[in-house]
Parts: sequence; structure tokens; C-alpha cells
Amino acid sequence: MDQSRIRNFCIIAHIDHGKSTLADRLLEFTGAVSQREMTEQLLDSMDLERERGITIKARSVRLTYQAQDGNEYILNLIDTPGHVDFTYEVSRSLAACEGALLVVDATQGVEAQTIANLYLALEHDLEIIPVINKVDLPSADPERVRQQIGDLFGFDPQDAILASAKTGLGVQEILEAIVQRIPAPKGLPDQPMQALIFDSQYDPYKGVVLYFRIFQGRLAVGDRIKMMATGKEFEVTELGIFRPAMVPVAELQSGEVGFLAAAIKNVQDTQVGDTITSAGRPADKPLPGYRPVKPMVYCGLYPVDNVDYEHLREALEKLKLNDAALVFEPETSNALGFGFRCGFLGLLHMEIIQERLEREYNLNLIATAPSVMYRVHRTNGEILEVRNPADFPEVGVIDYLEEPYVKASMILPHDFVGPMMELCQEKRGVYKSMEYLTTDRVMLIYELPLAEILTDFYDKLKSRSRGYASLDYEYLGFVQSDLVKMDILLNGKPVDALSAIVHRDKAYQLGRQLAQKLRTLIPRQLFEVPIQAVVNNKVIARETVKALRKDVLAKCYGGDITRKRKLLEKQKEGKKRMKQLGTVEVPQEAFLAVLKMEE
Amino acid sequence: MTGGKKIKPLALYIHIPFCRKKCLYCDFTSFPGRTEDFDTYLHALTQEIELRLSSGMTIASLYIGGGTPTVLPATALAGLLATVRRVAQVLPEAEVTVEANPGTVTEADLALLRQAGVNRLSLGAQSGQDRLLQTLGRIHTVRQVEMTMAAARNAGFTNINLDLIFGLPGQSVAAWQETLEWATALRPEHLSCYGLQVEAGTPLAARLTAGELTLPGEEETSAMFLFNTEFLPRAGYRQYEISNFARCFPAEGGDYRSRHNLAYWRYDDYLGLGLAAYSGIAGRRWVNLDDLEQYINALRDGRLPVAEVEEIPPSTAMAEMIMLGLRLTSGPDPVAFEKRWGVSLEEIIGERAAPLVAGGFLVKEAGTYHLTPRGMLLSNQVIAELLVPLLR
Repeated sequence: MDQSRIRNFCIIAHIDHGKSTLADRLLEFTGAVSQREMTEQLLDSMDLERERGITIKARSVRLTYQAQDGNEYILNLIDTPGHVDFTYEVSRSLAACEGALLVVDATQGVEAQTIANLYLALEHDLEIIPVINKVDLPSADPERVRQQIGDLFGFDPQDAILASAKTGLGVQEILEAIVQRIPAPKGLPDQPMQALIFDSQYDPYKGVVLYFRIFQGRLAVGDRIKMMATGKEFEVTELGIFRPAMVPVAELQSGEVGFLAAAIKNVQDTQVGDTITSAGRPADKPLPGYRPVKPMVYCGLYPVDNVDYEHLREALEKLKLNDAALVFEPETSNALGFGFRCGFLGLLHMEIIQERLEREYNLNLIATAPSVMYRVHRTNGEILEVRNPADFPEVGVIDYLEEPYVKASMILPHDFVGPMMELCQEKRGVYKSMEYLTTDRVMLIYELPLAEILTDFYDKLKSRSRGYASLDYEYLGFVQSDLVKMDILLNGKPVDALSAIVHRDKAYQLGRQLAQKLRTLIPRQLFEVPIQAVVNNKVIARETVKALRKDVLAKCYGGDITRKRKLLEKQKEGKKRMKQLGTVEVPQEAFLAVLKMEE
Repeated sequence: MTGGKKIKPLALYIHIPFCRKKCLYCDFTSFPGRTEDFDTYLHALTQEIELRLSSGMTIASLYIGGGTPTVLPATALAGLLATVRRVAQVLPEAEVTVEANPGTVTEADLALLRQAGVNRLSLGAQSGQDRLLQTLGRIHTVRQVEMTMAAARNAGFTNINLDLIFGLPGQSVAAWQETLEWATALRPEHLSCYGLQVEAGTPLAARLTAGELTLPGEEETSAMFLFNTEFLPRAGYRQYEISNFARCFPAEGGDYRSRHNLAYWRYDDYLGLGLAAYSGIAGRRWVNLDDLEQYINALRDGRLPVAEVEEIPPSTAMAEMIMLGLRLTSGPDPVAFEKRWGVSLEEIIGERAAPLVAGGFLVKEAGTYHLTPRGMLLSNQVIAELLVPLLR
């Protein structure tokens, strides 16, 4: 394969700006799939991805394109995950390319995620081809967007291609631009092999299948390979390319994108971002940018029925086969029994895992409210990493506390700057900068505690901007904070799964809101249920779920005892969906109450 | 159920699925009008009596309910009783009840029933206010209740029950108190005071959903129930079940508790005949067909008109015995319970009962448990709480 005829590229876009549809059109135009085979949005193969309209796993596909210069080119499209939770994964996909299509919706203009990913692409020195999509829509304003791209990113506005992924307009122009503007790969085939892993997938028959891009050297079936970060060695049993179906090949070389299987049992041995090299003739250093995956968000997952504990463990283990970013360890709660503390890349990742556990493994789960990892500096100099608020040490032994902060970029119409700044202030944000992207669009930068983003920040951002604001954030590091642990007592007994870490200044208000919310979530029962929020042994809020007064005084229907009994059985069913804490029955939603507090 | 074999005296129920006009809250199997079906139904019912009963069977109580049994001619009801007596042995001291609606019976009818051996009359009085009787879609007035009551006395009835309903749309606590004062002044031997239960699909449910009617609040209905438990004993009626009160002074030879209904609450066997009637005998429960034509056809072909049979596993039966026993102010009979299951009541529910006793919902007494008035208000919750391990 002549490297000068290879182009590796990806597509950068904000959610809903048409990335997947454009990818479909490229596949169709180059004949990778016929129109008949086309299911909508081919690259998003997980059900959840299609439903949510987002890409979770990175995919790639090899297109063959007969260019107008008369030559045939190999175009490798590497799809990227489209969510802030997966920024690192995005960066690895970008690193595998020489160029990127920057897709912007002609009706909406540039959004926060577009900018964040564009900056990532520029960091990797990618050649950018701006594409203004959806120009066929009546509300499209391509000239304004063209201007915006020029002003914002310093591109020549005339370089932007007008397209409609829906109608196919501009597709050929895009393909030509890929061939002409994106540089060919430059690595040498006879150097020691270096390949970047940009994704992996567990297959029950083949083991872990790695998706990679070769930067230099060659790779053939039967080669012994080595993972440079983990040091693990394997023998390649299968090698292939995506068309988009997996097609085996005997050898791949510098510049090419493909997959390999090597009887790899553990996804942890082959992390995304690691460099594959030859075991016999290793490269002297790995490709840059590798970083072990690090969970940012934690929550406890418990089976409602304790007998499902082993089933939950097996399900988590199976999901982990395919997801190096998912971590979990057993934990015990006095309220919820045996379960797992699980770590995720972000909220979306967490939701996806929970949904898959319930859907694919038929588990009935209680999830505790998500939290971040706190660093507790003890008076004796020791540093504790606390992932579960219930594990917080006594106040007396704490010197100071640190919590993770992120840099949040929000893009919004300037009319909403006021409300947005107010929101960031409420969420303990630190103002950094404000920049006008155009005359009426503003980019606002704040530093915010990650924990604040985990609750209702995104919902409020959307509601206070009538849906117009977009958000992206990146991890900054740990910052010292004045935090306290807030305990919730039901019927006088602390419920560890309801404990939360909150900022001291907000404890009183949050305690009151949380107690009120719990009062509405916990149904009335035989006994009254006092709810208390407590900080440092001091009650800061108190509510009561009043006891039931009466139920139906049914008479016995002329011997229809079965009907009467079935009523009781139905009542028992209701009880089964609740967690019994002493004499109090608590519904599953109550454990997420902290996320559902109104203003 | 072959002849010769001695079996325990039975509680026998006979269902008459006809009435003059369906009440707005009614979801029982009953057909208004349909006088043309009376004869075929009575004929089928007679066949069922002959199929089900035998000379070896003794009957301790007989209850003819409906619908409104007295929409049938009194002679027809007397005929049914005669059939039962011909086929099985009705004990001389047996309680024989007929349900009647005021306005559907004359003194002559009642005298005929009395002569045929009916010794207890249950009258659907429901309310002491005409306005509320209209709300319920009843066909009679308060005055007609009083007249029927007097007629029954004249006909020789010395054991009369009045059915009353509280918690009616538009009913105040004071209005209910007035009804009770009115009812007790009539001096019936027995009073059933049921809380109105709105059944889905009834015209009453529709009118409530449409907002045309409003039910009294939780506090009012609770007050009405608690008033029953205080007022009626003072008026000479002992509460023996959540909704049932009777003149009951065994020392003076008067015990007017319903023996037929006690059989249900004590979890004794009962046999139900007629359309849609339930039976429970020896760990098995069944219900008859509820389609009139199918019922009649089955019996014409000499088949039992059974729609569905349920085998009650022991743990469920145990739960049912407790569930029903707790409706009685004496609670489930601990001796009968242990004799039947070989395990004590205490062993089965003691642990779960403790917090409910402490919470004031149950009283532990004489080796068993019974509900307090507060516990009765929440009987479903309390009983479900007790029986969780036994329920499916």
C-alpha cells in the first residue's frame, strides 16, 4: 500500500449537528455500503447509541475513493465518541488522524463541544476542513456560520464546504477536499512498529479486539506484539480492516488503520492510548499522550433484592470486559446491604452502565447519588481518597479537604449571560473569562467544582438559557474547599446511603431542600417518619412524613377471600420495590433525591 | 361428598343475581329486571342444590343473598328452602337469613318467609337520609325502611340486621351520626356499618371522576368509623367485627352475631350455590360461572357450573386464616389455629406483630392478637405488614 494514497480523518461535531448522517453519506457515496444495506447511522451500533443519538464507542471504516485526479485513495474514517465524558477517548481518535472534518449546523452555529473538540484537533496538528451542514433547511444561515467560523478560528471562510448530509449535497466536494487538503501519513514501513490503540471491543470468541492505527513499521498475523504501557505480550491471531464489516488481511503497515485479535482476555491489559510495538524489535519509545483511564464520578449500585448481589457482580464483570473505564469494588452499606462502589468517566457513562445493567441483565437496582472523589488531608499528614461520602473520617482528624474542579466553557446567546453567571455563582463557580464569539454569542469560562456539575447543573443551564446554552468541561485538578458531611436520619437513625458532602455555606439550604424532597418521596406509612439533616451532630433541617390515617375498610365479599388476599399480595409487591430500613420503607428514587431538588 | 360420610356442619350461601334496579355503587353479579329469567334460574339452582348437597350433610347456617333475593316471589324462596331441607339436613338451630330491600317485601311476604323457616332478615337500609339514598341510587326511602322493619316485626322476625354505609359523597360526620341514631332507635338486633368502597366501572366511580360528587376526606371518614366504635356499644351493640355490631349478651341468652358471617371470619368451610357464588372447602376454593346462560346450560347438561378452582397451599391458607380472623374483635382463634396447622399463631406472627403492638395498632391478649380501633382503620396495611412472609 502506497502511503501517499492513504488519508486518515475524523469528524468533529456538536451533538445533533449531523455527524453520523454525514458519515453514512460518505459510506454510501464511496460504495462501502449500498443504499439497501444502509440502516440509519451505521456507525452507532449499540442500541443505546441509536436511541440517544450519540456515539459511545469509537468506530472506524475504510473507504475506497476514486478521486478526480484519476487515482484511487484509501480513506480511513475514524469515528469519535461525542460526549464530554469521553474527552480522552476523543483525543486518542484524533491522534490517529491527519485531518478532521469540522461539521457545524447551518441553523445553529458553533457550540461549546465543537470548540472543545476543535481545540483538541488543533493540538494534534490536524488539517481542518470546515463543513457547514444542513444548508437545505429553511432556517439555515450558511453565510453567517461561514463568517462565524472565519472569525472564531481564523479559517478562510471560503474554505468551508456547504453540505447537506440529508440530501447528499457537497459530499463529493468533501471527499475531494479530504484527498487534496489532508496530508498523507509519513511514517516509515521499515522502522520498528508503533501503533496507537484508539478503541477496543470484547468479543466472546476472539477475546479483546483492538482498533489501532499504525504510525510506523509493519504488522502481520503471527507477529508477537507488546503493549508498551502495560508490558503485556501477545501473538496476533487475526488482523483486518473495516469495510465497515471486519475483513481479514495478512499484513498492515505504516499509515493504515485496522483491527487485531491476539487472544487477549483482559481489556485492562490493552488500554486505549497505549502503543503496540513488536516484541522482537520494539520501538525505543511509545507514541505520546497515553494516560491510564481515571474515573471521575462514583456511585453505589445495590440490588434491591440482596439475592441479586452475585448476579450484579457478574454483570459488572461482563460490562467491564468491554469498558476499561468502568471500575468497581464491593462495598457495604448499613442501609442498602451489599453492593458495589462504581467509578465512571462521567454522568453519561454512569447512566449508560446503569441502563445496561437494568436492561440487558434484568437487574432491579438502587443507585446512590453520584459523587466525586475527595481528598482528605488528615492531621497526621496522611492523605485519604474518599469515593463514598459514608467513608468520611471524623471531623476531628481532618486537617483540610480538597475536591476536583473543572474548567467549564459555555457558549450562549448574550441575552442569557446574566442568568448563566448567576447559576455559576450559585454553583460555587470562579469566573475566568468572557469572550464574544460573534456580536450576539458569548463564550463564558468558569472554574467549577465537578461535584456541582454532577447534580442539576446541566438541566439548569438548559432551562435558564431556554435550551440555547451548550457546555463543555475539562478536568483541572484538586482544589482546597470548605466542605462538610451532611447525614440524613430517618426515624432517628442515620442512613449512610443518603449522606452527602456539601459546601459549608450551602449546607443549611441543601439540608432543608433535601429533607423536603425526601418528605415527598417517602410514602406515608403506618408510623410517622421523622426526617432530619445533620451536620457535625447538629440538626439543620427537620421534616415529617405523617402516618397514614386510614385505608379502605373493605367488607368481605360473600366468600371472595381470594380477592381480598390478592389485595394484600399487591401491597406486598409494592413493599418489594421499597428498601426496608428498620420500620421505614424507602422507595428507590429517594436515594437520588439530592439530584431532584427544586429551586 | 358422598352420603354416609360425616362432615362438619356447613355454612351454605345461595346467590340470587336479580334486583329491581342496580345501585350506583354496586359491582356484584346482579341483573336488574330479567323477570323472564327467574324460573329458568330457579330451576338450575334447584339442580345445583341437588348435585351439591346430600343427606349426610348438615347445615349450620343458610344465607340467601344477592342482588335482592326478595325480588323473587316469597313462595319461590320458600321453595328453595324446602329443596335444601329435602336434600340435606338443616340443623334445627340453624341461622337462616334472607337479604331484603325495603320496598320489595310486604308483611304477607315476610310472614311467608318466616313460616318457611327464615329466622333472620337482613335489610339494606344504607342511610337514614333520603338525599343520600338518592345519591346511592337506592329505590326506597327512609320511611320505607321503617315500614318494612315494622312489617318484619309483625311477621314474627326477632333477628333483624340493618346494612348501613358511611363515607358517602356529600355525607358529613354529623349526618352519619344522625343515621346511627335513627337506626339504633329502630332497635334491630344487628347492624353492619360498611365504609363505602368505590369500585371501578360503577356509575358512582364515573360521577366521582367527573367531579359531580365528592367523597368526604380521610379525617371525616376516620371520624365516622371511630364514632361507630364508641357510639354503638353505648347503644347496646357490641362490635365483634370491623364493620359488624350486634346485641350480644350471652349471659341473658341473647347473641345476635351473624353465625353465617362468623364462619367466613373463622375460616370455616362454606359452600356457595348459584351464579358467581364462591365456595371454600378443605383447602380448595372455587367460583361458579358468572354468565347466566352458561350457568343454566351447565346445569341442564348435569355439569357443575364451576368457572375456576384454586388450590390453597398451606402457607396461603394460614395467611388467609389470620387475615380473616383479624377482622374479628376477638382476633384469630389461637386454639383453632394451632389445631389446624400444628404451629402456634405466636410463632407465625409474633415477631412481626411486636412493633405493631408497640405502635398501638394491635393488642396481644389471650394468646392471640386483635386490632385496636386505630389498627382497624389501617387494617390492610397492618395485616399486609404481618403477613409479608406468608404472602406470595
